Amino acid sequence: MTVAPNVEILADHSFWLAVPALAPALVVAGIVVYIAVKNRRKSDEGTGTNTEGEL
Amino acid sequence: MTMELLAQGSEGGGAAISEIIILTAAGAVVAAVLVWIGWMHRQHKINWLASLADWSGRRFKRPSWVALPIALFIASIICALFGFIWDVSLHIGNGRDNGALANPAHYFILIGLFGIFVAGATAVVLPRGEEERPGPAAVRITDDWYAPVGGIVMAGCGFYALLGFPLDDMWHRIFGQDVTLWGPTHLMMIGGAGFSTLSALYLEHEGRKTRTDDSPPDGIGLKFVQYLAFAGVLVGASVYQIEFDFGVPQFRQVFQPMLIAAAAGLALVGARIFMGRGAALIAAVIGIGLRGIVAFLVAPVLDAPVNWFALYLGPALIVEIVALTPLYKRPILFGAVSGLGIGTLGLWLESLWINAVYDYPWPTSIWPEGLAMAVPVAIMTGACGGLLGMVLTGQRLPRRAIGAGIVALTVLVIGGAAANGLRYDVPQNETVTATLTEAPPVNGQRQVTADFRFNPPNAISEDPNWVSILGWQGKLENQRGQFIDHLEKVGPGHYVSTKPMPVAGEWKTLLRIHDGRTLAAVPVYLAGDAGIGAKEVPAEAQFQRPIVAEITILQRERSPDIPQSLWLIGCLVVLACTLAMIAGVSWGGGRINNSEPSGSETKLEPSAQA
Repeated sequence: MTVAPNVEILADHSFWLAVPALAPALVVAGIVVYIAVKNRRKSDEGTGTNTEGEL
Repeated sequence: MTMELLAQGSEGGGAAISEIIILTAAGAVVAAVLVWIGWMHRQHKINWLASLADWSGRRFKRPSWVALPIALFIASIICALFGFIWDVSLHIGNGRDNGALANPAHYFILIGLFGIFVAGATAVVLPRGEEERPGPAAVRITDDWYAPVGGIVMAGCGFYALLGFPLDDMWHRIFGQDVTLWGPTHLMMIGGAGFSTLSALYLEHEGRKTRTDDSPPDGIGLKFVQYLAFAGVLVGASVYQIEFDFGVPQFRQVFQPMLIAAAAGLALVGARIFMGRGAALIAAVIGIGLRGIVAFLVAPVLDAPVNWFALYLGPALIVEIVALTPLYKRPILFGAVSGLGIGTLGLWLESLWINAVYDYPWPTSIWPEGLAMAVPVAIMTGACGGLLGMVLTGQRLPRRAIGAGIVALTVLVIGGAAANGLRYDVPQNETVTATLTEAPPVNGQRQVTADFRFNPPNAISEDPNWVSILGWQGKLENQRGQFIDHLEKVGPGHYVSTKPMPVAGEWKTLLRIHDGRTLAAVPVYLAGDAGIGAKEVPAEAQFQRPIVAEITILQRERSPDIPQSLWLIGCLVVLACTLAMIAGVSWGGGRINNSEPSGSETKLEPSAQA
């Protein structure tokens, strides 16, 4: 008896199927984080007064 | 590293090169369009997005950065819910997919989860300039760009859910075929969508905080959306029960009451505190409506296997009653006491429904361990529901250490209960002797009735959870591909079937035994599966087969040469992602609450007594 009697293959999601969703999500999240980090560096180098709303 | 693993596994993946090119191109186009819209909007070079958001804001009586994202969110999460339930039912009825794009339900899931992310990202991108600053809790992106916390948490939940797709793919390639809904990467996908409902509530709250005295009063539509959000939290927290809902539970039955109590504690307590009298019941009723519509679409309309769902009316009634006591003034205590009630009386009321319609009713023997798992979990999730209610009503949370401690303790208690639930025993050296009797074929497929004798005869206790036949993956055209028959006990260790079972075609038909800690199975007929190199197990007229663990057989599907450490690393990666998501949702609540004006708790006291 070498078979599985109770195999529920509930998902066979391919990496490729997710590309049209995951890649844009990565790009958008990456750009927003990049802009935020860049802005914070800039304000740190500057006067550093505007810290309201920091994480 | 990632690509290397994927490339190595690609021969088993089945995605054609043309499919890959199309999907990659689609990804690039979607990314470009999203970035372009966001960029042009923020540069004030396009106004249609702002106009659309303003229009929905006027309809919804909330700021534009709340109204449009929440509309998008509701559409997306319902799309994902439908796709998810349909997907599970297709897999139960049909078995494995013929390629990633062959299963229509996957599109609904993917588009729905992506929509959750896009909704959150829209809330982040929309507010332009100081005059549109999204409330006091907003996170600074640049000097004139602030993002609402709810939007960030929503996008994060959506991202976490989407991350489940590639991780799931790697998981399959490394560890072989997947076995259950409760695969770690599956939990990411459904959990991310489930928890994102909380972020929608956060976002709506942030929008409410920016109201001024001349803002129009909230309409009935908005009220409905708020109730709908809590129904969403309830349904979202119920996704872990889906195997039970379809009558194909692969884990011990004690999980079911615990999961019901956990979902009820969080959602119904939160609803009652935020929305006032009757809200727990209304949220439960709307949740029934949501699940009912989806279940109707999947079973009678699309002719896939049937699913039921917990009603939550009993737990909701308990929450409403506890809320009539003075405990209601202390939300966390109110939540914990409600949780205690939900985990006991509430579950008993729920059991009336479970026992009436579910394929696997709760035997009396389930209660001692069921309560031991459900009560502590429900007390903790009830306390979390109390925290949620405080955030949404602007009552100041207790010190950060206490709030974070409650969430951490909840995770630990759920983890402990789950660890106990996952433990099971397999009988050693016990066998089943079966005699099959031919019955009239259905759709040309052989059907048999069976007589089973357990050796030794005292193998099964007086009140087992189930001794039943499960047939599944027999294809939708054959009795929806699912068959369940509870065997009738005719003597000590002697059971007979009550109706003919399918033992032909693509069916996988097995005798399942769940008796307290025992969880095991005996195959009756298993179709051969060339795809995984499995030979047919024929339904001979007479056979004697050992009782074996379902899960040990499942693990044979995994690649045998995979070291245990790799499996541990895989689990730890998923665990880390999940803890990050829970931390993110908790952070959002804490941050919103921190920006509440001090003394607001006294201001809100009257409404807390309403």
